[in-house]
Amino acid sequence: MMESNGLNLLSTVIYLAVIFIAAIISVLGSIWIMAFLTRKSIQEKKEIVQRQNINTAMVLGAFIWTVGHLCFETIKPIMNVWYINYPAGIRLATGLLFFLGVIASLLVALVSGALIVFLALKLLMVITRDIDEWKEIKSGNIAVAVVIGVTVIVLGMFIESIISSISLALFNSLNLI
Amino acid sequence: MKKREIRSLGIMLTALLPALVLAEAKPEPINKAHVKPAHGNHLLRTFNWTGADKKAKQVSFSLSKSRIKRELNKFGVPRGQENALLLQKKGFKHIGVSKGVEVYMVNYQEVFLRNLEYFRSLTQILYDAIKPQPPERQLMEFLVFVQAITYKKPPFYYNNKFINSFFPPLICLYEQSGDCDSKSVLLAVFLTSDNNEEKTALLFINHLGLKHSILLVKRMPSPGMSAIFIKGKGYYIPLETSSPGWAPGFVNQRIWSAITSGNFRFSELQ
Repeated sequence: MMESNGLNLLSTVIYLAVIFIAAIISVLGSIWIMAFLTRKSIQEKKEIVQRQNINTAMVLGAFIWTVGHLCFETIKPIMNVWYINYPAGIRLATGLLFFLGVIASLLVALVSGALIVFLALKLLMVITRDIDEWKEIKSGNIAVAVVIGVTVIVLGMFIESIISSISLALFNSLNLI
Repeated sequence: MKKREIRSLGIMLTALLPALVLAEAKPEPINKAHVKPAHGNHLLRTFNWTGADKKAKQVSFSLSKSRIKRELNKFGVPRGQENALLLQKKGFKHIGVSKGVEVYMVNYQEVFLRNLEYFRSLTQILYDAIKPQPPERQLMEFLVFVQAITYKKPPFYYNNKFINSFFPPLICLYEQSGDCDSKSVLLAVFLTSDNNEEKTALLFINHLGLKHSILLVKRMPSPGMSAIFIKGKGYYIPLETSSPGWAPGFVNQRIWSAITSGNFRFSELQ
């Protein structure tokens, strides 16, 4: 059993580790998923690094922000599980399960969030069939980039609670509580 | 993700895991508090629950019949006599007028302060039941105990008296059930009766069809916890007493959204 200061220190370390894992998974994962899903329409790396295209950076930035926010909302309730469990003493197996659960929940939040946002964007593009959004973004149309970026952020706000509930349900299925 | 990144993530996790190996939980007999057996003037109420340390616990409170009678006499208005004067005399307070109707609510602070003295011995019994614990874990253990009490909304009328669906702490123990505000005041009394320094408050939420109340205690939030900053008073962390599985500083997302949108009423107990 630990004293309060020890607990605070350990909780801080655990929280930092969970935040760090979440940041890595959300940022790298969102860039990778975005590049994979839009591989036929746009080459983000080439557009941003070589052509210094602000429009592409803006859309990708909105996507990273949305997915990052989704992942952050997912890990917040997970810390509740940690505070509920520490008084009983944490075993190696439980600790491993905790971190695997964190990673699995984050991956679920990342993949499902990115897919929902991307599918909704696709739907928007189907509705506005007369405009080729990716072509406009590539050619430097900032207005289209702003609309797409804001759409991504607003969609993220709508699905945030649903995705975090799904991820938390998955985490709770590990029966750590 | 590159191989190098995956490797560094793996190294970080391996370094963290030994820190997690704290103590092995061993099966232990039920921790029972020593209480005087109930006799003619007392009623025995036994509670069984699983503590925060995941060990089975049991506590028996010997409640004085005269004290229960006194509490029921001081709180609640006889049916048909719900007038302003009597309501204010029997544990309610006037909070305003809504659509031409006078609105009264339970005077939680009065009920809370009245019960502090009597609960000193009950708190000691509860403390003995959850021993051995470091003192810092008292908040967590007391919260788990109150969460384990059956959630049941008290009736509007109890013993033919208007109580506005609120059980004072002693009646909550006597009935072995309570709702959000009854259980919150019970926990506040347990936390404060033995520690005068403890600062508690009630938070009433009425937002988008959600009516709920939670207890707040003055504490600095630990990493990951939610907290409310009250100007001139400091940080308060929320305690969800209605259902098990919520650690101090954590509440349902819906409740937290209602709090962050400002749709709450803050009522200080001490």
